[in-house]
This record gives sequence, structure tokens and C-alpha cells, in this order.
Amino acid sequence: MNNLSRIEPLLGCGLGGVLKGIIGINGAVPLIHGPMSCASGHRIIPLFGSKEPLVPSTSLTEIDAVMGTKEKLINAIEKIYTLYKPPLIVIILTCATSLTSELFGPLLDSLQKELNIPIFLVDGSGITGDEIYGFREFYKQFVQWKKTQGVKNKNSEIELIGLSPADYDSEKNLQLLNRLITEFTSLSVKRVLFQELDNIDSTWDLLPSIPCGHLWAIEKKQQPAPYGADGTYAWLKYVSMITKSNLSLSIEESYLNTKKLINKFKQSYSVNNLKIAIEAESWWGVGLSKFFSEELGCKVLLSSDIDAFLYQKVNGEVANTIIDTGNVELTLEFDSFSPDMVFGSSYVKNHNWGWEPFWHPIYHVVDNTQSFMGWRGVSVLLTVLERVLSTT
Amino acid sequence: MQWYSGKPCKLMNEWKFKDSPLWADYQVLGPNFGAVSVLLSVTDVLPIIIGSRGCATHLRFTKLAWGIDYDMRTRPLPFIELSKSDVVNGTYKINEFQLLGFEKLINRLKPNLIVLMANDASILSCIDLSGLKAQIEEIFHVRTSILEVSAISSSNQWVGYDKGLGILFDLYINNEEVQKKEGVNLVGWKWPSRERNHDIGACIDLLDKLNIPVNYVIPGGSCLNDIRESLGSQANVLWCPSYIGDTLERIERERNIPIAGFTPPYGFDGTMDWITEIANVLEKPSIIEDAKLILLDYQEQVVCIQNELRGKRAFVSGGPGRLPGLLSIMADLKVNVVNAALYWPHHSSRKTLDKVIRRLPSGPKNIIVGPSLYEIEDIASSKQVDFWMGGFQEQHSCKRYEIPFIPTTVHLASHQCFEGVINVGQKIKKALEGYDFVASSFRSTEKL
Repeated sequence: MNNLSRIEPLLGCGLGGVLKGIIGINGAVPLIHGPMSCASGHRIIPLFGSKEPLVPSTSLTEIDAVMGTKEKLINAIEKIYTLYKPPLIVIILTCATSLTSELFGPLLDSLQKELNIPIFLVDGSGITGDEIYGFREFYKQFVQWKKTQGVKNKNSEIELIGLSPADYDSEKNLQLLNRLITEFTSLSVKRVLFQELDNIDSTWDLLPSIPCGHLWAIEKKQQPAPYGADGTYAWLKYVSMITKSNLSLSIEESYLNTKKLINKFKQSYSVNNLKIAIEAESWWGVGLSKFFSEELGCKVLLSSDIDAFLYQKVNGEVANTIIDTGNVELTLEFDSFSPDMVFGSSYVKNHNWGWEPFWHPIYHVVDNTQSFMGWRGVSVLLTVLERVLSTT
Repeated sequence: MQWYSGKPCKLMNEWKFKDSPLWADYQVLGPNFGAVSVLLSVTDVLPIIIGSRGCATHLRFTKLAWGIDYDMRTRPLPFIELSKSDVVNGTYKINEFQLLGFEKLINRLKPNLIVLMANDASILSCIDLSGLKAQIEEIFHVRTSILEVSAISSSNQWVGYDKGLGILFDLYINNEEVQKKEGVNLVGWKWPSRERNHDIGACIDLLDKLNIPVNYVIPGGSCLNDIRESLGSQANVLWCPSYIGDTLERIERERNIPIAGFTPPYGFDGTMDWITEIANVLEKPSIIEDAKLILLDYQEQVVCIQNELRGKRAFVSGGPGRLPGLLSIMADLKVNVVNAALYWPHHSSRKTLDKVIRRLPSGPKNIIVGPSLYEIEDIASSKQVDFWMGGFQEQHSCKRYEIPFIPTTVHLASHQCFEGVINVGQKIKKALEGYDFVASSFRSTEKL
């Protein structure tokens, strides 16, 4: 985005997004074809997902870039195969190898046949795209490969796509999403792309996909994450629309009970003077913003990716939105806004406002909380707000 | 990268490495981290990454997240966004929108130096960044330098440390007349903290007891004026030998400020070696005698720990400063080091490691340089050790094989100087009793 004035990005390069996908496939091994620094800097992605930081590289230096890197790449792939017998190897290019543009296609085709496993090649360089781009590129290749082995599934099973173990609170949020589907639809979640995927080499059912997380904006009709009473109701309706299935009758009762809870809260506290700042990718950020602004009447400032801006252009504004801004630059924006409460990363943890961990990186020690998603998540959010309101 | 696995004596004799095609590294950071860690440590310097958003995000995380225990507060690490077509066309200019962003930041921070950090794309495409430098200087009236160190420059952080320091000292080394003062600089600590229980605090306290004033700590928590004034000190004492390179050697040659402390201050003998080197450059032999008196107390304290740990088998890993240091401590504790790993080789490591390994009661049978996770796994699975001291990410293999683990890269109580022997000994005992130092992925659960 060359017309952005921001100079500290929220999002990293495509490499980070590719890794977020890979770590959700058990046994898959990434190979950073570039300098070791690109690998070392992104070890945090598997660590965020409570996985071992296996991010090997070909550890290239300038001389390799000049002399050619194919031999090193072949040797590295063969070594990975010997050591780990992975179901999938994903070669990720960095700025150096993206720029030098060596042709790896034929080499990888030949190795795939020899080793009998899929080997993907994704350009993860920052000069090509950001994390969301990287995740989407990886997803596209994966789905293209699986389509070749696919069989249409006629059962009431679905897949959630666009999530990663590296997303903040991914386990709790996924449990919540699963519960929503199970309790209020006739469906069940068979798999999540990409979370704890096993046996990817076997025949694959083609399932209806619910775009979430890093993939929420790939379809024309988009629905942000289920936060709040309205947000949860809308998300379930979205699932119902995609799968052409009915929702359970109990959805109305749950919805109305949650609305009552919110209204009671609004009667007890003056919430429309509250200012909330959020730092997160758009599926999560827009979802949470909608709850605070539309259901509670708070003022919201959101730092997110471009899809947050584009969604609001079509569906109406829910937050004053800054694009792709992080760290100190974002903290200064928050400072000008004077929020009462910030939901974001450790970079924006500050004594000037209340803070809830909501988006990685979280490097402070934090107490375990419940998910903010769903109808149950509303009580958790209201408890958080109560804490802020009682101190102001 | 430089890799070796084999007998220590062969390594010390030949100092030869292979280039492995695959590195499942878990500990080493790159040259651009080395440079950023120097530059972000200096309060009035603003580094700006050219081109890659990934470098900006992962470098800031690594510096800030792992420095939280050392008073590292959030610092900006901005970048000038470039697309692939910008790189191919050589369009290295800040556009009007980015200028607005920089204006806000620079007006607030008021840096005295801006450092443009080249990225892989600019280095490989041989772009001349002087136009960008001139643009920034003209608009913001802040001295601006170019640092041509990026990820592709090397397989470890050393060149980043050296060139990062070089960019700072280049401002003053040729021109400035600085008042001479008694005392030394401590070089290599890259955090603002001066807490007593941190490694830097232990070193400053020991030097204080020996009546050696520490004028400046470079670069952690310093400002450009400190860099300048440090050229008046009597010696540059290494807190970490990884910083030895062209910059410190040039200062030694051209400003007559000798380097001391090639042996890092760990263990009784290691710390005595460190102090002896300092005493020699300061030409004050009495310092050595004073140090021996201080050491006596610790030698008494360590006896009961030695009795408990004597003969225990250990795996130890570390970088060019930490590995010889920890081996020195193992020698003091009478522990048998069965296996060891050096994350990356620095030219100073050879002599120091050789000296320290000879002090060990026995072992190591094997030493790896440039270890990978799968090699760590192999060693852990062989169950040859009673405890393990190493980098934070070695915890995963240790947990799998239930090996008591003491992290060395994220810790609270100092591992350095004479007191470090006692602290480390106590930690090993705790670990052997079942204490979990790594219950969190990012923070040590060590309690002071």
C-alpha cells in the first residue's frame, strides 16, 4: 500500500503467513530457502502455536546468491526427507531468493516424484506480500493439491478454513466455534485448515468451507468473527447460508438471553462514553469492533489489515480504522485516542489504559482467560469492561 | 553455515568446518539482528529498515520480547516499504505518505542519528542508497548513516554486532578529542538494565569491589554522547567476546584503547582470567591479588555444591561467550561434560574453548558447532546426561526425555563472575530436584 503513511507495520512478510498454515499440518516441514535470519526470526510462529520451533533453512549467504542455490536446495530437501519423513515439505522463498528468480519448478517436480511426497513452493518474501498473502498462497496450493484426491462428502460435515494454532487463544476459540456449530446447527466440524491436520496423504472429502480467520475475505460474502450477541447470531446465519442447512430453534433463546444481559449491563453502566482500541487482523478485529460499537455504543479505534477497511466500505463503518500499523507508531495513535481499554498485542500494553491480550505477539505473562467469542464470550467481555468502569 | 561434529581436540587443532545444506537452527540470530540489537540499545539512534516488512516485525519482536526482563521497553523499528517492482526499478525514495509518518516519529523521538539498514534486495541488486540518505538528511536535518548489513550477509550475528558498533564509533573515531578518564568501558551488554542480579550488574559490582570504575556500558542503555566519551576510557573490556572485530580493533589501534577480557567472566578461573587481562592493560597487578581475596569466600561456599554435583554428567551449549563460560563453571563444580554445542564459531572461541576444556574433570566426548534440533534430539534420546544447560528451545527435547533442564539464554540470577558459580550450582540442584525452569514458552520461571 504505497499511499499509507504508516512506517511500523502490523503484519510481517508472507513467510509468517505460510508458517501459520504449515504448523497446522502434523508432520509437515517448512524449508526457508534463504538466509538463516529469515528462519530464526520466524521461529516464534510455531512457538505461538505451542509447537517446537522447527524452521530449518538452507542458510544462504551472498556467495550462494551469486553462485546459484539449486544444489543446496536439493541436498536440504533430501536431508529433511531422510530425517523427518514428512507428509509435506514447503519451500519458502525469501527476499533474496525471490529476487534472484532461479527456476525451481522442474527441480521440485522431479524431487516430488522421487520422494513421493508433495513439495510446495511459496514466495514468502516481504517484497511480494504480507502474512495474509502468504497464508492464502499456501492455502491455494494445498487445496489445489487436495482437490486432485477429493471425493464429495454427502454427510453434514464441514471444514473451517483460515485458522492457525499460532493465532492468539486459538485452542479456546476453536473449541468455542466447534460448540456453536454443534449446539446450534445440524452440522459438525470435520477439520480445520489449518489445525492439527493428520493423514493429509489419504483420500480427502470435499467439504463445505466456512471462511474464517486469515481467509475470511476470500469470498464475496464475508462474515467477521462471532463476538457479541449480534455477531454470533450473524455468524451462525452465515454458516447456515453457506451450508444451506437449518439452525436450531434454541438459537433465538440464546440470542435473546445474551441481549438481555447486554441491556442490563448498559443500564448499570454508562458504556457509550467508553473508548476501545483494538489491534488485530480483520476477522477478529472487525468482529470485536462490531460488538463494542454496534451493541454497546462505544467509540472504537481499530488497527487492522486492508480487509477491515474494505469490509466497512461495503457494510458500514464500525470503527475508525488504521491500516497495518503496529508497535510504537500504533501506541502513539492509541495515545491520541486515549482509550479506556485496549485489546491487542504486548506492544500496546501500557500503563495509560487497561489491556487485554488479544493478538500476538503476547510476550508478557498473562492469566488464562476464556474465549471472548460466542454468547458465553459476551459475559467474559462484560466482566472485563466492568473492571475498567469500576476504576474510572 | 559452519558446522562441525566430532572430538574437541580435532576442532581445536584444525578449526575447520563444513557447510551443511540444512540447518534446523533454534538459537542463532542473524547479522541484521546483531545490528538492530546494537542500534536499538542506544537511546538516541533510530534504525530504519529498508524494504522488508518481515525484517521490521521479526527483529522488533526478538529484541523487545526477549529483553523485557532487562528493562527493554518498546522502541520503534520503522521501515521504508518497497515492492518488488520498486527494487527492480531502483525506486528507493520515501514517498509523501511515508514522509508524514516519519515526520511524526522523528519530531517525537528527536534522534541524533538515523541508520538506514539495507535489506537483502538492496544488497543483491547493488543499489546505491546515498540518494535516500541525502533525502532524509535534507528533509529531517538528522545525521544519517547507511549500514550495509542484511540477513544475507552472514549465518550469525557477529558481523552485525561489529558493523553496528562501527556505525556509531565512525562518527567520532577520527575527529574527536575526548577527555581522558580513569576507568573502563564494558562492551557487549545490549540492554538498558543495570540491575544488580543481572549479568551486567554482577560484572559492575565485581569491578567496583576491585576499584575499577566502569565509565560506560556499550551499547546497552547508552546514548551517542556516551559512545563519544567512551573514547576517553583506559580500556574496552569485553562483557561478551562476540563483539571482537574490526571496530574494537580499530579503536585499539587508532585511539590507543586496548581490548581486554577475551576470556568471558564465568567461573572462578574464567573470571580470574578476565580480571587478569584487565589488570594487565591497566598495569595494576594489585587488582589480581584483590580478586583472589574476593574469590576465597566463593571457594568456601561452593564446596557443599561440589559434593552434590561431583561426577554428574551434563550437556552444555552456548555461543562464543557463553559456552566457554559455562564449561568453566562446570569445571568449578566438578561436573563431567559429556557433550557440548557451540551455536556459532567466533575466531576468539578457539583459544578460549581449548583452555577451558582442559580444566574439565572429563569430556566432552563430542562437540557440535552449529547444532540443529535433530542433533539435540539425538543427544537427548541417548540419555547420557543427568542434566542439561542450554538455549531456551532445547527444552523440548529435554521435556520429551525427562532430562532436568536449566535455560541459559533466559534467566534472572546472574551466571557470571564468581557468584555465577554458586547461582548456577543452586539452579542445577533445583533442576535435579524437579524444578521446572521453563513452564512458559517465553519467560523463565526462575525465582530470585
